[in-house]
Amino acid sequence: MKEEKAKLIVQGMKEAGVDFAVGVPDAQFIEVYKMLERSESGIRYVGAANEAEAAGICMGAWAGGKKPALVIATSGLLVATYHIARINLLHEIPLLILIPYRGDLGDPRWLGMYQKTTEPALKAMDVPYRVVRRSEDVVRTIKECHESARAWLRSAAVLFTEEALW
Amino acid sequence: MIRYDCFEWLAPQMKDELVVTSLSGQRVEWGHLSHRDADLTLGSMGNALAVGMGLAIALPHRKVFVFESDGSLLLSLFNLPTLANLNPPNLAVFVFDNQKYSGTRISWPTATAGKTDLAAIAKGAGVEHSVLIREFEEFKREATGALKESGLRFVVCKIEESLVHRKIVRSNVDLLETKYKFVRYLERTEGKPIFAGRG
Repeated sequence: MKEEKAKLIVQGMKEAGVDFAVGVPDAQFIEVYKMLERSESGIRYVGAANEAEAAGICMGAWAGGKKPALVIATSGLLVATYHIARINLLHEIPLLILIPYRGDLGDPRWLGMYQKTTEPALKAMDVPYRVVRRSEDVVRTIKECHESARAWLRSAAVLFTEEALW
Repeated sequence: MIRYDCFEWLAPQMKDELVVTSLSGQRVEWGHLSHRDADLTLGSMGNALAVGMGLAIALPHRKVFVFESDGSLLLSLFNLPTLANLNPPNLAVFVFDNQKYSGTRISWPTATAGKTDLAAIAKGAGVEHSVLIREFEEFKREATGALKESGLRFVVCKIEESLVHRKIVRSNVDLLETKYKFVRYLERTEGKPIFAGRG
C-alpha cells in the first residue's frame, strides 16, 4: 500500500480519538502497522498472535478506559468471529474494527473467498460497517464509525478496498 | 485441592483488585462468594485471559487477577506468547485445572488429563513465573504473592473435579448488568468517563 494512504488511516484513527490498537500484521495494511508501532503515532499498539485474542485485548482495554481499534485482515475476521460475536452481541462493547478488504474489485490477486465471507460475517455478528472505496473518504469514515460505535455501544467496522489503499 | 476452598479463602482478601473469570464452574463459584463491582465474570470460554491482558495494559497501576480453566485455556493457547512478551507486572493468572470439561452438565477429560502440562506450555511461551501447584498451602502462598508483589504470575492449580458449582443457585445477573457494574466501578475509581452513553 502507498505510504500516504497509510497516513490517512492513522490520521483517521487519531482524529477519532483512538489511543489503543491491537492487531496481527498483514501485507495489505503493513504500512499502517509500521506507523502504529512508532511512538509518535500517539497510539499504543499491541501485536497479538491471533485476531481472536486481539479482540479480547481490545475489550479489556476499552473497559479500562482506552479507545481501542482492532486492526485485522479479512482472514483474521474469520478467526475472530466467536470472540467478536460474544463481545458485540452479549457484552455490547464498542470496538472499532478496521479491515483492508481483500477480494473486492480492484484487488490484483484472486481472493474472492473474502468477498464472499467478510460482509456476511459482519452482518451475522450484527456489526454495522462501511465500505470505503475512495481515499478521500478514509478519515471521515473512520471518525464517523468510531463515534457511532461509542454512542451505540456496539462494534462497527470499516472495510478499505484496494481502490482506496493503492 | 478444591477450587471452592481456594475461592473461599481468597475472596475476603480482595480489595480493589480487578478480577476477570472465564466460563463455567469458577464463574458460578466466584460469583457466589464475591459480590464486588470489581469482578467481571465473563460468560465466555477462551476470552478471559485476553480481556485481562487488555485491562492490565490499560490500567498498569491496578492489580488484575484472571481465573481461567484448563478447557478455556486450551481453547486460547495463542494468548500465551503474547502474555509472555507483554509481561504485564500487574497481572496474575490462576488456571484451575480439573482436567475436565466440567460445566453444568458434562464431565469429559481434557488434554491435561493426558500428557499436556499447561505450566510447561506457558514456560515454553516465555512466561518466567509459571508454576504448577497441587496443594492448598501452595495456592495460599501464590495468591498472597499475587496480592502483595509485582510481577507477572501464571499459576496452574491442579484441582479435583468438584461439582460444588452445580449445587449453587445461579445468579440472575445479566451479562450486560455485569458489564455496566464493572465499568461504572472503573469510572468511579479511575475518575474518568468510559461510557459515551446512549442518551
